[in-house]
Amino acid sequence: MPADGLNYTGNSYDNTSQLGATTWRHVAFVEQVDKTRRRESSRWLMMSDVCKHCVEAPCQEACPTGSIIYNEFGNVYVQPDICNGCGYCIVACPFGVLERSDNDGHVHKCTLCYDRQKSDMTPACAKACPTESIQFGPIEELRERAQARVEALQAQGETRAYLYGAEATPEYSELNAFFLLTDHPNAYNLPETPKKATKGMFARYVVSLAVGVALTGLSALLFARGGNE
Amino acid sequence: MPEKRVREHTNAAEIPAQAGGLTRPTPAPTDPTTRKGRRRDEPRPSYYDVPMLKPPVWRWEIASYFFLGGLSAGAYILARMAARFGGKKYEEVTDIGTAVAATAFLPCAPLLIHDLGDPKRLHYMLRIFKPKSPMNLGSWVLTGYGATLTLAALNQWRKGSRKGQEISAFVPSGLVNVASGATDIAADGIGVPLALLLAGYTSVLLSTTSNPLWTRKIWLGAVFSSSAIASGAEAINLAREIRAPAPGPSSAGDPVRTIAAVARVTEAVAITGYLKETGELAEPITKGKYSPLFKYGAIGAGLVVATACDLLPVKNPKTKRALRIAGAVAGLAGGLALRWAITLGGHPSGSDPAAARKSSQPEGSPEDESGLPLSAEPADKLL
Repeated sequence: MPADGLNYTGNSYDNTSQLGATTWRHVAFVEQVDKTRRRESSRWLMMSDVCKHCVEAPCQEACPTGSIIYNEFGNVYVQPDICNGCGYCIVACPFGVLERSDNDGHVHKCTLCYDRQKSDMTPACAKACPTESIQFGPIEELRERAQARVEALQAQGETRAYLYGAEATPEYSELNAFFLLTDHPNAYNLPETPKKATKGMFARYVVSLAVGVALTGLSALLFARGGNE
Repeated sequence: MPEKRVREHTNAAEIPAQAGGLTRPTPAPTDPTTRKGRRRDEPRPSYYDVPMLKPPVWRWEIASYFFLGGLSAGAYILARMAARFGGKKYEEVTDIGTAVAATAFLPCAPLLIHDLGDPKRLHYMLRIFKPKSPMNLGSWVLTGYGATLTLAALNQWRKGSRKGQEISAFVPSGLVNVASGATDIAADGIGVPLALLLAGYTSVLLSTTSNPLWTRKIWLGAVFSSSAIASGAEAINLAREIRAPAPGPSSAGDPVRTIAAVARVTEAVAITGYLKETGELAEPITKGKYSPLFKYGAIGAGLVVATACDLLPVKNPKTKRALRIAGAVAGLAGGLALRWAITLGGHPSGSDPAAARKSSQPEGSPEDESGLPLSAEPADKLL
C-alpha cells in the first residue's frame, strides 16, 4: 500500500485526519483544553476509526458491479478485481470511509484483514493494539463486553460513556465495528445519526416517472389534437 | 461448505479509568450544555473542520452525461408521441426528434467511460442485475434504451431516405412492413418507458447518496424529468428552425413548443420545491462557487430567457426566427448548467463538515431527546 506522505495538520496529534484509500485505520485525537486552565475539565479523547462494516451497508447496496460484498465472515469487502472505479460507494457511505485511489482507479477500504481471517488470525489492528482498546471476536460477545465496560465506566463516574453503533436505530443498521465514546459523535467526526439514503428510493422513482409520464401524456394529447385538425 | 464463523470486532475508544480529576460533574438536565433539552440549531462539536464525508469523484463528464441522457430521452419521447398520435402532420418531429435523440446519445458511453477510475471496466456494470442500485439499473436502462433507439433510428432512416428505400427494396415488402411495425411497437412499448427511466433515474442516483446536497431529495426527480423533456423539446425546435428554409409559421398551437413551455414551468416549480426541501444545505448552489451556474445558467438562461424569447410579441418573421433560435439555445444551455450546478455542487457540499453534521441530525422534534453526551463547547472553540 502506498504511503500517505507526511502531513502536519496542526490540529492535534492526529496528522492522518481521515480514512481513505490508503488509510484504513486512523486515530481521531480530540484535545479539549479549557481556556480557563482548570485542569479538571480538560481532556483528551481518542477514537481509533475504521470502516464500520455496517450490517446493511449503503456502499454494498450502491455498488453497481457487485464488487462490494459481504464475505463469509460478514465483513464488507471490496473485490479489487471487479471494482471499476465508478465512485458511487464513495458518496453512498455516510461515514466517508471509501476513497478512490489515483494509483489504480479502484476504491479501497479496510478489509478487516480478510486474508488473515481466512488463516484464522486476528486482524492486524486488534492483534497489535497494546491496550486492548481494539478488540476482535464474535459480535454478540463483543457487544456484551462493551456494555459491561460502559456500565463499569458509568459506575466509576464517567457518566458520558455510551456505545455508538452497537444497536440498530430506526434510521440505520447496527455497525459490526462499533465504538465506546464519551462525547457527542460529531466530536469524533461521526454522524449523529447515520441515515439510510435508500429509504424512500421507490417514492423518488415514482415522482420522477410521474412527472415524465404527465408531460409525455400531455404531448400525446397535443399531437393527437394537432394531427386531427 | 465451511462453517460460517461470525467474527467481528469492536473498537473502544476508552478514556483511562477515572483517577481523580478527569470527570466533570454531570450537569442538571436543564443545563444548556447537556444534549437533553438542547435546541437543534445550537452548534454541535466539530472535529477540527475535517470533512466528515468524501466528496464525489464525478466531474464534468457525469454532469454532461446527465444532461445529454435526459435530452436524448426527452427528444425520443416526443418523437415517438408524434409518430404514434400525430400522424402525417408531425412526421418532421419524429424525423428530427429521432435524429436529435441519437446524436445526443452517442457521447454518453464515452463520457461514462472517461469518468471511470478503471475505463476498461465499463461493462462490469452489466455483470449483474441489481435494481436496488440506481447506477446498475441505469446501466441496464441505458443499454436497453440504446438498442431501441438504434432500431427506431434505423427504421426512420429507411423510411425517410432514398438510400434506405433502395436497400429495403431488396427485401420482400411484406417482411419489411412486419419488421417496421414490430420496430414501431418496440420503440413505443419498450423504448418510451426506458426513456422515461433514463430521464429520471439520474436524479434517484444522486438522491440515494449521503451527500447533503442530494440525499433523499424527492423534488430532484421532478427537476430532472421536467428538464429532460424541456431540453429534448428545445433541441427539436432548434433543429427545426435551423433546417427550415424559411421562418416557420406561427408558434401558436405547435405541440413541441407548448411542451417545452409547460416543462419549463414544471421545472421552475420543481426547482422551488427542491430548494425549499434542501434549505440551507443548498448553499453550494445558491451562494457558493456554483451559484452563478445555477442562478444565471439554470434559472436565468434556461427558464427566464427561454420563456421570454417565446413570449415576446414580434411580428417580423426574421426576428421571430432569431428569437426562437436564441430561446432554444438558452433553454439547452440552462439544462446543461442545471446538471453541472447540481452535480458539481456535490463537491463543496460533501467536503463541508458542517453540512454533513446538519444533514445527519435526527429528524423530528426540535428538542434533542437522544440523550447522548455533548461537550460543553465545540472542541475547536476550546482551543
